[in-house]
Amino acid sequence: MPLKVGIDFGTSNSGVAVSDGSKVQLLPVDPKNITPEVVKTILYVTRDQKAFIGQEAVDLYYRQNIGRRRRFVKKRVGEIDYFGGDMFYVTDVFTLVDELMPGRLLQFLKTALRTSGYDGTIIFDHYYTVSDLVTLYLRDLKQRAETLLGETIHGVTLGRPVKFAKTPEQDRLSEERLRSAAYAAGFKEVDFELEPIAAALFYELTLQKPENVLIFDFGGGTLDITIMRLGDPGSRKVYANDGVDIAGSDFDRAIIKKRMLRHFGKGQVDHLHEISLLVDAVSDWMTLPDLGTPKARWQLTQAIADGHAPARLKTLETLIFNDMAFSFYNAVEQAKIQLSSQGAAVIQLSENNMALWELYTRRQFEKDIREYREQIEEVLLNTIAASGLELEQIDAVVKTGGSSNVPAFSQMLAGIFGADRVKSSNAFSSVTAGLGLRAAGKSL
Amino acid sequence: MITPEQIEDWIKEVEERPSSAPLIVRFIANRLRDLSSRNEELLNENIALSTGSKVEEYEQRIANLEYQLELLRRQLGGELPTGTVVSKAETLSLVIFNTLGQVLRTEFEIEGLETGSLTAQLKDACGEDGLPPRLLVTSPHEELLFVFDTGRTVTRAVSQIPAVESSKLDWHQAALVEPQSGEELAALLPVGKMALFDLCTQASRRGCIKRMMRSAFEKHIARNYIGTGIKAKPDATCSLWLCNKDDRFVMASREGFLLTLDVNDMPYNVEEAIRLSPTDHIVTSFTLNQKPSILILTQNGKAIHRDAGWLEPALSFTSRGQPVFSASRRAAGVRVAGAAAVGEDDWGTALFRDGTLRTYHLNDLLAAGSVGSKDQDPEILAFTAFELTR
Repeated sequence: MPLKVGIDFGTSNSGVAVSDGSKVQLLPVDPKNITPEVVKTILYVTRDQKAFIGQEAVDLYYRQNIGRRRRFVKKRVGEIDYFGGDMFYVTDVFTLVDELMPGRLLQFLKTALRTSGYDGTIIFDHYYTVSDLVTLYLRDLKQRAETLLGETIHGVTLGRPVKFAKTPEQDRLSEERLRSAAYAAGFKEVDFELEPIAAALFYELTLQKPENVLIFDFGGGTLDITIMRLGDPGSRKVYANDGVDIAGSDFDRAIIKKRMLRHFGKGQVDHLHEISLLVDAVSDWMTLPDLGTPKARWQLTQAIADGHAPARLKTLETLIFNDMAFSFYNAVEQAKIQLSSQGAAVIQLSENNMALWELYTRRQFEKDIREYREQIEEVLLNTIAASGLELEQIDAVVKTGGSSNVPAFSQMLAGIFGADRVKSSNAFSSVTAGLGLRAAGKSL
Repeated sequence: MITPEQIEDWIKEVEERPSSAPLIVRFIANRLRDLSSRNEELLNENIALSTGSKVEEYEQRIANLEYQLELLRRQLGGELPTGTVVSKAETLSLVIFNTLGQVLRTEFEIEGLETGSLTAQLKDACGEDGLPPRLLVTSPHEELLFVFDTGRTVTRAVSQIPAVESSKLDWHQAALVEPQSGEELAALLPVGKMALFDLCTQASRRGCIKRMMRSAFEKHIARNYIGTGIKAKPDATCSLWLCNKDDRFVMASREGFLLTLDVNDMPYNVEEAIRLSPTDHIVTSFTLNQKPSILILTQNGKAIHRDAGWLEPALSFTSRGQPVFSASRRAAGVRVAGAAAVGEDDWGTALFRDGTLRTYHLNDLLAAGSVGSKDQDPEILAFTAFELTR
């Protein structure tokens, strides 16, 4: 029988599972990771067009980039036609390219799938569509799984959010992009399952009797809420499902915007337009490495020499020109994760003479994400209303996904349903395991 | 910096969740420990700065000033003509640079150097910009002014550019005088002896020229901007030269035309001084500086020698210039690789297409009439001349 696996292609983390229908096995596809069954959704493409994923990509990125030299050269990227003075003109367009850049790190590939207007990117003279990038990731994941299983994988059940994108057109486009990427990666059979339903299938293994269950799947990119009846294969039913594109990465951005930008000069250099733009760009780490141009360095050098918040602008310069963006965002994310289990955490960067230190408390974090919490509570209550069930009729609330561990949301769920009904499923593996079951033929 | 609002936030966290208190105290205590240790390091550094390290820097500057003073003394004593001059006793620095701001430096001894012998070997002569690099032989004590096509300048001591082994020159080892967005490095000028001169001339690839009074030039350098020196893009500055008032200015074009002007007749504003064909451009400019002759080296290795008296100052700015070789040779593809005002005891260094850099005693070169390379068909990319003093 051709082998089929389940793959949770998540915004921050991914995983592969295989099942015989009753038991499910999560594959240790990233042996370098602390949890080998979870592989970071990170892709690193080197100058010779080799692709690396997961912890290997992160390690290689650090090895090749931190504190490296840069050399910018002017490169022709095309030409533009324009009309002026009753004449048509054609002029060449040039850009500055860092010819010593050893590779390009890409994260949030799943978010890119649903971003309209973002079709792809050029990496070292080679154009990759969004699907191409996902293909690189899935191909490597497939090869790792095949090595572990010792046989060729024929098909895959991929997870997808309830709402991939805001409009039905974008939603279809996102799914099509993911489907074509999976085919290009070598899978002969590709189908989809909603991620919360996959989580439900996994949770169902633990049930002794039928229950009405609310799945609260809160990951790195989206929140999916599904209310369904489980426990009796003959009477499974989805009452309602909904989603919203708020998740872990939004919280990271909120922390940076509200707490970290002042370390790079926010509030002190706002009158310097160009510098101010550089400071504001810190909250988007994907664009930050592109800001490392000679022009930006010159502007920062001048501002520092002129005495405009020199220590903070030096920190900004170090962040940009030593490729510290990824380390910085990791530090912010780690602090956020620590706040799920403790009252305070420190965001610190001390490499390359940086002296960035921020003591961040859970209270501050909850204040910073209050707006998101309110939106999520509204979506949750609307979904319950759409299910036609009363609160008392929901027997269990199952939390899954990394962001579901944030205490503010546990408290919100406990406040609505009562703490005894709120249960935790494996935050990073329940969707993957459910997709494994689904791939083995189990369905709602 | 820690703000009062942050401290207030920490206190509120402890009030709201007392279990957070030990953790917050531990974080603050660790931070205090790190900061006090760092504070001690900084105090130590301050002491070192005020006693030891600065002394070394001052000694280096004093050596440079003494060198300039020595030059001035000889100048006043009539011993030393102006120009690219290096003391025979010192190690020479050969500087090679390109439009990307990549700068290579290697050192060589002139004592015992045979004319035409290999001075250095450059891997990939044209580098990454695909254009022939340019050369300068100078003293390690010199100060260099790097001029970008936007008019921006950067000053750096020759000694600050790391010296690379002469047999293994490679652009990957080059120091970088970093251009800003869209900029190219256009010219390089030794300015260590600037105090000895009245003026600085600036010439562009399309034949625009201007002169600057030294006092104005010094102010421009202090502001890191000397002006683009062009009338319109995509022209760019290609040469700067320090000179005195009664000197004679010469610029040489790639297709073999020379334009001569008395420095006093040069404009202070940028003016186009020569009519160049669309395919032609200025290769270099210099002043005669009481030298008896000029040397033009063609890309195929021929040394063309002309007495200074042969040069005819242009009567207008619409001149096509004096041809240095015939139209038939021009049509056959002969081009100028470099030119300079020279004396018989001067030296010159040429860069060949295969990356070899050879240094010639110009007396021998003029006698031979061409670079005496063993190559059958040498192609010269760049040339510079220099004078040695005792």
